[in-house]
Amino acid sequence: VDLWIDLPVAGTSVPLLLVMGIGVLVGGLSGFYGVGAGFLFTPLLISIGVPPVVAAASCANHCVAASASGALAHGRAGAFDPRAVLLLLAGGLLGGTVGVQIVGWLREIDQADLAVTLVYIGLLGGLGLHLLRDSVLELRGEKPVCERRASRRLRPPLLPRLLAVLPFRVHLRRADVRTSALVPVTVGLGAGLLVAFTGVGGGILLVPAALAIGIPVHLAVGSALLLVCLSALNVTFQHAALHGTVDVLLALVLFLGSVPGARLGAWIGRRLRADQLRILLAVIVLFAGAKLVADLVLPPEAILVPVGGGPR
Amino acid sequence: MTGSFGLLLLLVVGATADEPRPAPLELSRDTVVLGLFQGSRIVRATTEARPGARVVFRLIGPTASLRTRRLRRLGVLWVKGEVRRFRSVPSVLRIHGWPERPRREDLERHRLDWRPLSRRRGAEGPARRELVAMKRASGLYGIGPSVASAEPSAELRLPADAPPGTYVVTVHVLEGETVVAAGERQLVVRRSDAMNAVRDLAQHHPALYALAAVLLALGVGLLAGRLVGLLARKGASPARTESAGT
Repeated sequence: VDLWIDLPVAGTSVPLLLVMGIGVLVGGLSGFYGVGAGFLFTPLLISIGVPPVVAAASCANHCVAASASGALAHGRAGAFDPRAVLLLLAGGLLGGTVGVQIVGWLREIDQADLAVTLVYIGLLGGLGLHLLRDSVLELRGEKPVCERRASRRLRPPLLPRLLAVLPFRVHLRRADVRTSALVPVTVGLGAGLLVAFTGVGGGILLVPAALAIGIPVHLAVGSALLLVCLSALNVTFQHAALHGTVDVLLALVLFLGSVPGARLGAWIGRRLRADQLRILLAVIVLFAGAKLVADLVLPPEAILVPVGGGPR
Repeated sequence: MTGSFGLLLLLVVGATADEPRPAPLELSRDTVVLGLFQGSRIVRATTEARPGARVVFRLIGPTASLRTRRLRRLGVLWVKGEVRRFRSVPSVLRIHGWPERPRREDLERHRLDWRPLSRRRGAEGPARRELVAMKRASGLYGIGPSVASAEPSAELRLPADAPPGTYVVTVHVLEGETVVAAGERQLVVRRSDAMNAVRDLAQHHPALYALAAVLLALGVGLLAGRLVGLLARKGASPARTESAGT
């Protein structure tokens, strides 16, 4: 079907069904594995010709839509720690703002696409190798590396000991955890930077970090979702208002694909063993990273590129 | 392939020999509107010619200046390097032949001029080839397939990235070693009103556009969440459907 959609901000046209297909695929992976696979959106969009900066900023916009419902549900149910969210948000807003400014500066020297691509190569490479290693271990019937490390610990692990000596102690009442305010602020800062550079919500960073400081799972997930939504909202607004890199249509089409995709993925997930198929996600992630590496390393088809990735 | 690449460098602007007679040139439509969802961007061009004649159709987009960067090696990476500016570059160029692809030797034999892609001095050789390669890689320049038809015609397919503006469609009818007829028609390519509105909002009222972007995302997300919730109550698991790729 020869259906194309003009992307007014990206300055390009893309096959409509292909973009929706990307939404279905990534949404399906999220629904299937029960974790966000939003980090695949941007590389896939880059591979079909969307400029990297526009792809990342538009994915942040998609992230607002994708997390809004979950954040509201957790907010209403009180499944979050208010103080943790405030501290995370302080870091997230700062990180997002700083990240958007850095991306803006990189755009001025026309190297933002390279920076976004390099960040993604690191992200996908690290994540893909981690997933692949754990998948292989699970297929062999062995425990994942993190669990083996935890079971071997004879003395208190390094991270809690480090966290215990940090200043600015606060009590996260609902989670009943005492920690340094620097920890959630720093984690939020990292998540904000991640959203600004990659359009990834940061749940993949926030939930483990919240668990690491002792916040219970249900509060960790709720707090992370709230932060993802608000941080993505901040980054979307700034990217759109300051740099004009958010393509609303692109985000909307992605979302229209990802919602049924998530349903489909969840349906499949109830019928198949996710642990055995996690290796598939690892391969997809590594393949997406390898494609970005190939684009940067292999001789290009054309030696000239338009400035700013705009109209050719 | 090399011949095809060479042809991309050619722009027929008229014969230098006898003045050709006007050739009738019919277009299936005079205006192409680029909407949100454009199914077809094909314009059929038709002319008349005596049996045995060869016909060259050409579609040229509006010219504009273009700033590019030349990629250079930095270690193992290809990174953006120096800026190269081109003035007066046709945004789109498609060449179609009938009953076959236009032959390079035909164009050369008739001493047809090449329109330079850049007026910048020193940009006529390798730089022009690099520019054509970039345009070709993005699908803006190309040679269209021959049309299997009894009458001289070509299907001019506007590329996905075709910019709006006034395009020119020309036809040259060649008999033996002579261009015997030539014709020209204009084709208007414009964006739909909705597309223009979105674009204008993003460019001229960025804060408003940004606000609309986040509000739309929130609205669509909450609406989808409500719908998914309703479906979940009918038996699906809600926990796994809350995240659609965050």
